[in-house]
Order: sequence, then C-alpha cells, then structure tokens
Amino acid sequence: MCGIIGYFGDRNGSEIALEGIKKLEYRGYDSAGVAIKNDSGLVIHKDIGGVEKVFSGFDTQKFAGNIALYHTRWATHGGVTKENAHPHLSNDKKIAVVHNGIVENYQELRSFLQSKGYKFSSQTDTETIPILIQYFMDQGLDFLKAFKQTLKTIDGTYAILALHEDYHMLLAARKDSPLVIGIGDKEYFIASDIPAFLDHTKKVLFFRDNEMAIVDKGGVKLENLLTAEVVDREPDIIDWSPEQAKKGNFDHFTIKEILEQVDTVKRSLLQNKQKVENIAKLIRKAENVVFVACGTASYACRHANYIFAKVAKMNTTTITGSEFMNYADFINEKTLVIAVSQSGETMDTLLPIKMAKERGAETVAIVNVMGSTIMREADHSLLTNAGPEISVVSTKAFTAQVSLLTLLAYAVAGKYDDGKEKLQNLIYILYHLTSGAAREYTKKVAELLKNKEHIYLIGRGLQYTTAMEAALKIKEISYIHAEAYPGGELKHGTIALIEKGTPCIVFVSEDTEKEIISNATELKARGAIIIGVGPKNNEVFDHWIRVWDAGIFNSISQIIPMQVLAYQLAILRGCNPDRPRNLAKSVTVK
Amino acid sequence: MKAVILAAGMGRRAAPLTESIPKVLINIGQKPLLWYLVTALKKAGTDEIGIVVGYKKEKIMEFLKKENFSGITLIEQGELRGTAHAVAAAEKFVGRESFVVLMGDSLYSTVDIGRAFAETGTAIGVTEVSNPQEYGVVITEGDKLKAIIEKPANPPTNLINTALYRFESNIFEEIESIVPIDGGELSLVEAVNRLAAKQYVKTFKISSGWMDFDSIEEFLDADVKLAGKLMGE
Repeated sequence: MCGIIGYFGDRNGSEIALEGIKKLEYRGYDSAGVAIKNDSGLVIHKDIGGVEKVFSGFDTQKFAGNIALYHTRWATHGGVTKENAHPHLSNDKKIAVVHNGIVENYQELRSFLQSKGYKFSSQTDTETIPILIQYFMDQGLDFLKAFKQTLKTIDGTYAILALHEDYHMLLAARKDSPLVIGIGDKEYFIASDIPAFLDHTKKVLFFRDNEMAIVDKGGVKLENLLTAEVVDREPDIIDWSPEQAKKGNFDHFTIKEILEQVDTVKRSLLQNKQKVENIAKLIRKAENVVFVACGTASYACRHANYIFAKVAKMNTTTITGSEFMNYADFINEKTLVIAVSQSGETMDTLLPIKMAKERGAETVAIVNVMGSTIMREADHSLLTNAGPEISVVSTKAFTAQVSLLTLLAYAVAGKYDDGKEKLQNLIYILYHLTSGAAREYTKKVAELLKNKEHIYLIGRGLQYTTAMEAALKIKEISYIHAEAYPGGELKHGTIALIEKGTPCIVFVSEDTEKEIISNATELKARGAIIIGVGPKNNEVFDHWIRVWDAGIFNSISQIIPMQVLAYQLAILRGCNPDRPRNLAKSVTVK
Repeated sequence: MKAVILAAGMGRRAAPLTESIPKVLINIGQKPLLWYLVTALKKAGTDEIGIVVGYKKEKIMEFLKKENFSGITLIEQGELRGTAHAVAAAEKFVGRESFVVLMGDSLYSTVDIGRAFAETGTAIGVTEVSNPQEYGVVITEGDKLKAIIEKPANPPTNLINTALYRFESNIFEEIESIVPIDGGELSLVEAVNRLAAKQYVKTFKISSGWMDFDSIEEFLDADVKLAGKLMGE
C-alpha cells in the first residue's frame, strides 16, 4: 500500500499536491518523493523517511510546476532506500511514474528490458513501468500509446500516474488499487484517496478497475482499457469533512480495516512463487517447524498448525513469543523457526528469533512492514501486504497472515497454484460477509450481548482457533470477558459456569457439525443462549450468523462477522474501538 | 420411468465452497441443489431416482438419510471421467428402459421434468439465452436436433442445451463408441451428437425455472438473491 497524488492545472502543483500527499501518509511512510514538470524540464526529489522529513527543506516556489506527482511509500518489493523511493524514471529521464500496487511479472519484464540494453537503478517492481513506456516509445509509439501498451504488458495490481517531459498531459490507470479523480476549476487531482484533495474540490470522479484517465488542456477523459471505449461517467459530490474522509467516511479505522479485507486477502496472495516455494522446501526439510508469535498473530499460527496438518500432513508447533525461552531447549540447527508479526517489531517475537539463530536454527519472518527488525533479523522473509494497520486491534493483518500461511501450506504440499486459486475464490465469500446487510444483522446480535459480563465461544478444529481469535477481539475492544474452548473440552470443567442467559457463540463447519451441535445442545440444556456461526441454521441456535462453509478456509471467513460483532459491541458500550485502554499497537518491550 | 442425476463432480470452479461438500449439496436459497432436484423429480411422478456419486459421496449419503428421501439408488462412478462415463455407470440401474438424465449443478422445474418423461424416443430440453457462447449451442431443423456445438466463438443461434435428456438404452452403445477428449473425459454431448447423426433426436423448449451454476460467484449470488424465495414457491 502506498499513497499517490497527481496535480494538473494552472496553479503551482508542487505546493498544492504536497499538502495532499501529507494527508495520504496513513497509507505508507517509509519514503517519499515528487516529480514536477515545468518549463525547464523535470524536477525529481526523493528520499527515505516520512513526507515531513523528506520535504522539510524543499522549496516548492523554486521548483514550481503545473504538473506534479507525489508518492509516499510502503515498501513491498525492494528495501527502504533512496533508490527504491518513487518516482521512478525512464533511462532517458523524460518519463516519471508513481505507482501503488505490485507488478507481478516484473522479473520477467526486467530481464527482457535488460536484454535490450535498458538499465535499472532500483530493486523495485515499479521501475519496469517507466522503462517499459520508454521501450515502446523507442519502438515508435507516442507517450499515450506507449502507456496503454505498457498496461497491457504488466500483470498485477496498480494505481499508476505518469508524466513525460515533452507532453503536457497527466496519465493515470487503475486495477485493484484505489484511485480517484478530483475535478476543480480547470484543474485536476488524481489520488489514492479523497482526503488528498478535499480542500480544493468536492467534485469526484471514481475510477473503476481497468480504466485509465488522460488529463490535458482539454480536460479529463476516462477510457476502458479492455474495450478501448470512452467512459462517460458523471462526477459525484462528496460532503465529507476532511476528518471523516481520512477514515473513508467510516467512524473508526477498525471498521474501515475490517471492510478492507476483501482487498487485503487478495493482496496477501501477490507473492513471488519461487520465494514461497523455497521457504516451503525449508519447511519440508526441517526436523521441527516452530511458529512463534504473540496475540492475534499467535492465533494465525495456531490456525496454521491445523492447516499444515490437513493440507501438508505435517506437524508444526506454535509457541507464544514470551514463553519461547522457557520452551526452547529442543531448538537446534535442524529446527525452522517462523516468526509472524504485523509490525515486525514485537519484542517478544524478536528475541526468540535471535535466540533461535544462536542455536543454529534457520529463521523465517512473516511480517507486514518491509525492513522491520524481525524481517532484517530473519534469514528469509515474506510480506503479508496488508498495508498499514492503524487500528490497535488487528483485523486485516490477521486474515492476511492466515491467508499467506495457508498458501505456504499448499506450497509445502506441492499445490501452490491450487491454494492460490481457492484463496482467490474465497474473496467472493468475503464480499458477502462484509456487505451492509451482513453488518446490520450482526448489529442486532450485538444488541443482545451488549450488557453481558461473559461470553463463551466454542468450536472444533479450525473453528476452535477462530473462537480464540474472536474471544480476543471481543475482550480487546468491548471489554467483555470472553473465553474460547474446544467444543469437547467444556464438559471437563468450564460448563460449571454456564447458567440461564449465558451467551455462547458456537462455530460450526460441515466437517465438525455433528459433534459441535451436540456440545451446543449440552450448553443449551443448562440455559445458555446459543449463537451459531456456520453454514446451516439449527434448531439449537437462538440466533444464527450465516457463513458459507469453505473447509479450511473457514479460518479466514468465519472471523469476519466476529470482528464486526466486537466492533459493534464496543460502539454500543461506548468504547473507542480504535484506541482500546491499556493497549499499544506495536509492543516493543519485553 | 427412472431418472438419473449426475452428481459426482468436484465442482472445482465453485471451490472453496466444495472443500467439504460436493457441488450438489451447495445451498441455493435455503436448500441444497440436490434437494430441489429430488423434490422436482418426485413431484413430476418418478419414485426411482439414481444419483451418480463420486466426490464426497458420504456427504450425499448423510444428506439423503437426514431428509428421509425414499426410492433413491446411489450409483458410484469410480474414476471421474466425464458426463458420458457417468451415464454409463447408470446402465445397470436403468436396464433396457427409457430414462431421464439431469445435471446435478442445474435446477429444472417440475413441469419441464414432466415434459421429458412424457416425450417419446430420445429428446433434449433446450432454451434461449443471451450468452450462448458459454454453453452447448443447439442446431436444429424444425425440432430435430442436428448437432450441439460446445461453446462456439460465434454462436449461430441463441438456443442452448440445458442437459435435460430423455434417453433410450441405445445411448449406451453410442457412449461405448466415443473416444476420450483432452484430459481423458468422455463427453455426453458427443454421444448425443452421434445419435443425432443416425436418428431423430427431438428438441423441446423448456418453459421456465432453469438455472445452472458453475463458479462460486454464481452460487453465492443465486443463494443470496433466492434466499427464502425458492422454498416459498
């Protein structure tokens, strides 16, 4: 995830768009840059750090221009370096591009372009774009045609802005990454998100996937890239306050990020297959495979234990980060330790990685932040690509972790493509689960639970690990005591706490239905209110939240209505879900 | 007359809905596809239904037991080698009589199924759609079937095969004579084309209520749209 904004008009874009990019810093903040076109040519300025730092001494009057492209980066391909910061340029330094997304076939394109004599100065996927445009221009196409030809050639996701020193135009295109156009008075803004230009115009033209925009003196023209037809779409008028807009018109980042999961699960699959398969090889080779993580990430790992058993027929273990030292006597050079962390800075996960290395073990990091300490410390790493998670409670980072771990399990089983296809199909279920209707229904369930002191959650197999994560979400943001158990375990003690009116959430799958319904019946006989989460209604349920069965993929789908439920409970109880008491986003202390 | 439902397939494009259940047990509205098919067949007057099973057949057995449906014979396809292979697996069940074949991933109305029972000889249900290039397009002369062309780029008509068939036992001879297409599958359409080249195969237009499902998107959309509606009819 990165933030981009482009300006085209009569005023000083260098100054106006700089204010805009500051409002997109929530999308990434490891480096930033700008390309400005003025009468003397192109001005490029970029560096590592946040927008404020990179532009602290930058004179927007001296480097004024009528076309400007700004970028704030969240690294995915290539580390955090000045060379990897955007904009990226063509070899002739005439074309500048900023990009949010991932060019999946960049290695192939890079080799091709290198074989034709073009030079690369960064490790990014993005740099292939301006160089490819130049390649097509060198073949005789004009800037616009070369841009279109480039879009046809690249695979992956993108929001792209491009400009050329010799053309007074701004080009943009979108596929699976956000991009909107703001229409001002003879001036245009194209940005990742509306707040970037809301101070200047409320008139907004939304892109759809596979559309491009051409902005020049004549105005803005939208074109469908698949059919080459001109798109005639009326602009919308936005009446959000800038504060609302930052959260995408949602009241809290928590719900915004819950709903983003349709995109983030998709993005978690944008991996370098070879890299994933190399790690799969290490997993197969290891005598012991140990996951280490804390909090929500540790539940993602417990999901992975079941998924590795089912898909790859392998035993793996999860050790809670802070307990690793007390458990690690068996770790040796034949062990593979996989650390999972959103921030990549969690101290309780970092120390085990250091210790595992001292004991000769090989280490893998699965993190969301490029260049984070755990990523640097580990021998190998994969990024979950969920983009910055601002809400303290983890939602989209969790499903991205589970999704990537599932893909890894399929790779271990030699079925990478099969796993990827199924995960991509799962998105259709997520669309329905995040719909307004589904959220409204969950709100009704939240009304019933809002004054309860305790909630018990049960499931079997992957439904048990979902119950654990759901309990954590409820505790973290609504402060209701919630406890998860394996369905068969209640009768060994905890059932003593069930009395008339105790709410119990029961997670059901096709494969565990018979047994878990029997457990639910035991609870109901003691007066419990039963809320079923699963594919089919059952007479034992007092309320039913429907989630289509997707086998092991239930671990990604069933948590979504629970995240929504926890959010609704927080709101109904007057708690701020974005800032739960006593909690910090990234726990960098022991 | 006996009826055969082809329900052995994995439903790859519907994954991951088919991780734990076969495609015919995916819910549409409130009940699985198979429930609608068996109910419609019974309403149309047959009590001898063969279901060709393969992938996750134990789930189908559980379902039939729970619903307490009578008069149902499960036929194992064994290796999954295409629709013609599935029909051939039912040869013992249907014997030398005429029989009706339905696809497990489609919904047909009672009226149309009744129509297939009432026909004579070999007959196939056809309908007009706006996207024929995605189906088996039916070429006819009057009501006589000339050929079915699978997913042609430029369909000559909008008329397509709904895969609601009435067969006589000579279909089994045609199935025996066809050769596997890419991937080793035996296609029922090819057997029907061979038959149509030799004899009169009647086409009849189905009236309404036909739907077919392939991708997860189609299943979910129909399910959400029809929740509560199909049952209420």
